[in-house]
Amino acid sequence: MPLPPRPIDGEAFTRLLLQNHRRISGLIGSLVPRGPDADDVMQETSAVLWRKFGDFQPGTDFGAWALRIARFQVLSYYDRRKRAQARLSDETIEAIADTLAEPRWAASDRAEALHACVGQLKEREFDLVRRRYHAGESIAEIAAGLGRTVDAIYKALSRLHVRLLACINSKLQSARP
Amino acid sequence: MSDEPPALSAAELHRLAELAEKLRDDTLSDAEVAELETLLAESVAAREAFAGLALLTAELHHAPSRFTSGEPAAAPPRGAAFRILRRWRRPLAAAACLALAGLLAWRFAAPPAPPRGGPFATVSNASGAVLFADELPADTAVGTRLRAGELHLRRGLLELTYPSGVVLVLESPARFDLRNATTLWLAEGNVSARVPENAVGFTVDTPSGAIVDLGTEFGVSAGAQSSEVHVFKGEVLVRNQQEPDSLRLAENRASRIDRQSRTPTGIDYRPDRFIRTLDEPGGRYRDLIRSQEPVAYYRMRITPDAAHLMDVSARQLHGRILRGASERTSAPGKVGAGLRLGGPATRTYAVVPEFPPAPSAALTVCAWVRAESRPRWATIAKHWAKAGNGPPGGQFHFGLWHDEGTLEVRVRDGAGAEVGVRETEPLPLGEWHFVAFVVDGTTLRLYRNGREVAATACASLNPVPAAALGLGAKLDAAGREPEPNTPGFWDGTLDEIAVFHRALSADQLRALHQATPP
Repeated sequence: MPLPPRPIDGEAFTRLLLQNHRRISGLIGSLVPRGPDADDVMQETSAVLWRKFGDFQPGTDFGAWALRIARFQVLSYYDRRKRAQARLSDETIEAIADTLAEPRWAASDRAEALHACVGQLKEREFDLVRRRYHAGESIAEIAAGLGRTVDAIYKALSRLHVRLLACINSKLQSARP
Repeated sequence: MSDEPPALSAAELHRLAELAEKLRDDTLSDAEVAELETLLAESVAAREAFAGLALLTAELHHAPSRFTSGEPAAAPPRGAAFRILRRWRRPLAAAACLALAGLLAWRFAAPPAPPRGGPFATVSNASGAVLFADELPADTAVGTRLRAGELHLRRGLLELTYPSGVVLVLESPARFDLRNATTLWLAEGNVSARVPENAVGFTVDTPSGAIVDLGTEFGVSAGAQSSEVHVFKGEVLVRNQQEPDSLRLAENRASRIDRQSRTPTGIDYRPDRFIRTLDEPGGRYRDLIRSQEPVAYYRMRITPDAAHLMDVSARQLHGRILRGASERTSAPGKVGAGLRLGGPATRTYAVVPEFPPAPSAALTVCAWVRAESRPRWATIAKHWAKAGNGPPGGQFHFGLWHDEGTLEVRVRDGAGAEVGVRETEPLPLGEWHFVAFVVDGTTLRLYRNGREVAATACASLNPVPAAALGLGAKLDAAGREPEPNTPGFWDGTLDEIAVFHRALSADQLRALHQATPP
């Protein structure tokens, strides 16, 4: 007999997901190429989290639990990927997920720090961020738009990322006793 | 921290950031994958940096405040595909549950748009609702306030109330967005709207064009190819940007707007396509049923969990709806909502355990039914157990006959023998029928739409109970699951099922048939 739907505390789920979603989307977004594959992995992960939420032990670390599930979904994605091309090893993927599962990455003040750091960018840098993340332009599109090479854009973007990362870290450090 | 990992050099860090970005783009060469693998495998600091970059890029895909301030946003084209209307989210205020802003936002390549606003509407009722905001589960508790943003009602029904008094009922599956206090964007699905006088001008925008209310009640059904509007009361304006002339659509009229041509064309008015309220309305039919003191009366009232089959009679013989593969089990009924069943494809049905048998040879069962197809032995209501070792239990077997699909009833008499009658023509599909059978101590009579269509002698009823009453399926001997060989799933909608331990007269049944509007 089909079972009636299991009661799920949607409110608790939503709250926990809100608190941890950047780490989950960060893990998937950093390991699965952007586009439909990443969409799928994200959707599968959300569905599994929702489905298995009954197994989650309240009071334990939701982020760590969710990242274990997300990690598994990422690994499954790589298993499914047909092209026999080089990829990161399972151990490395697991090590990254384990790193993100450390509670310190859950700090909500990272977002605030980033906003402040983005606010300090020069106009040209900000334009790059806007094109990449706001308008969703590909590196090739940005390169074409700015009349530069793809390689130069990768380099400029990675410099920007490193600067923002350093800025966030210094803001978080100075905010802590 | 005392055990700080050995730091990366600036060059290593830049290289790592570059490789990470290429990994996200899927443009790493094999050599670069190996390089990244070595870096990450050997250095804790590299993994730390990679984790930091992962969070950074996830965050950048969210809504840094500077993105949404300052620059004027280019409005997305009206009536364009829903996908491109995804918008940047404001930073997450912990409050509103539906500001599940952009867990997936990192993947959305959206043109600039104003920050999401609101909240604009409040969940005022829900039934079996599974709502996703940005493709993640969202709260549907009554009182939840909803903001602008991409919402996907995957299951059930959702009633939203705006501060202006506008009430919307959304049916799954639906994709929509609360754009502002006066506009609903409906990409896909059905919505019915009740708009009070002070909120005239409320607009439902669809991929095919906008439907502007002029003080009315109306339903909109939006799809990829076209949208439909059906005006229940008052008047609406059908508008699109290309056409200077708007269409004014009057009460009891309907129009379909093709997405390509944007041209409205008249279609038949079909109010029964929309659930207009989550409350089960009263009325003459209900009052007549109640005046006859039914043993059980299943109005198919919409319940919050969509799993409860509510008996509104005094005996409260409640049951359970077992949703198989159905996304939702409520649909517009003959009166208010009905129980929507999808036949063998969805295997949805309802069970009322320990349903009491009639104590004497007086029994009436009546219902409003609508069939979309005629599955073998399709069940309206069956209180019936197959003959096994002991005496067979149950009193009635009411539905469609075998593969012919003619309306049929059979009862077990006091000796355990089956007595049955049926119509000669298959039950017409796609329309509502008022069906009933009566045992009055001498005769078994079958009625459709207030007329007796068949009768045979029947002087007594089997006193042995069946384990349960099945609606929309015949149950097994234990009364828990559909009978394996002939489950008899109903494909269509059942509504207003009433059981009386008394014999209603032909006049009473005619009156009941006439007590609902055609």
